[in-house]
Amino acid sequence: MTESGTLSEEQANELVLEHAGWAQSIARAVARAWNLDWQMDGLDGAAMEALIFCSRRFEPEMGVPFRGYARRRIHEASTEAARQSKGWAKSGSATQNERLAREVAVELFELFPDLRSGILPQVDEQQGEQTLRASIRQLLIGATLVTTRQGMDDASPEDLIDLKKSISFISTLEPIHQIILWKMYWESDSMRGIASDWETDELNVIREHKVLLDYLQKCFSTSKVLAPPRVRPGLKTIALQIRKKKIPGPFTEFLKRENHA
Amino acid sequence: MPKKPDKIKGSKIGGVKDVDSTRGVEEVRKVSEVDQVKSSSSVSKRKSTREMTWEEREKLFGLVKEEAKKLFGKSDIPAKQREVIERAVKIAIDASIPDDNDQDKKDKESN
Repeated sequence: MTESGTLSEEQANELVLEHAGWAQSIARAVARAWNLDWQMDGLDGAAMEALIFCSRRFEPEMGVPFRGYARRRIHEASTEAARQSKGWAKSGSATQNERLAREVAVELFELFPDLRSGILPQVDEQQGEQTLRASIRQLLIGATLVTTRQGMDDASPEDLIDLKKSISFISTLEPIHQIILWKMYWESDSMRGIASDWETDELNVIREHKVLLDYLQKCFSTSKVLAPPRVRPGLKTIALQIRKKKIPGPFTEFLKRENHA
Repeated sequence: MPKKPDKIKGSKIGGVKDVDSTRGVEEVRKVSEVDQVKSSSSVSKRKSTREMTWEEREKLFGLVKEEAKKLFGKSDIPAKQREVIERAVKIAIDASIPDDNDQDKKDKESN
């Protein structure tokens, strides 16, 4: 062990040897999902590089198991290698829908970072299979918002009407809620970034996001605008400041612009 | 005859030394400003952080299909968009589950 708490080079190398097969299995999973070749497309090298990087920075004294510490980084490296691979660029044979789905899946990893560790979005209230179903619904709504944003660029006039309807659900929300969704799904900001801008705990934004996805899920499944959720206590002060400054909801403004265009 | 107590010896007790001037005292706050104790139901329940497994991969794909059907059955979301959404979620789940051919697991088993 070194003075800084990291492992000696010999110990770190042992760690790499011990976990090489596991790192490769992560790279193979990413390749399988995107229909790539994990070796030809360079995912194996990216995963190994990330594994070596983590072995050099791992501090056992921190009490986090090595795999828990390294998995997200290895997954990120594999995903990045996948996006830059020839196989990805050559996806001409894939249908347009398949290409869009691949891009949306990448964004889902940014929106739900626990997925990289193999963990579905967490939900509070259910147990067993109901938990799995509720988590999957969160992913589906997340993907719906991403595809709505994508679709606004090149939608046919008919599709545009339907997409505007999706946005009309969001435009009834409190401005603070609209800002959270806009920043995350339209500006690719992270929940951590939003929390940092508002000088609040990241958990406040994470919890609010979950509530918003639940609300939108109900709206989409019934195709009705329902009573919008209240702002949770953790963000009430910021919501009040936004209201005092009369900052409009970005989706309300967006719809106004679209309707005037 | 009872014995008289010994006199206390030692130096005399000194006078009171300089005392720091009193600083501002916080106002007493109303009880209403203090958070009430919340009921246990308002506290989040313990969440599961279980990893998805290779064995449940196909089951998860099935659940994605079922939930997508429920979610978008009555919605106005175009069919093409629904297809992309369902596929994207399946890709994301698939890419999160390492396969069962973990080499070091095999090595351990063979030893």
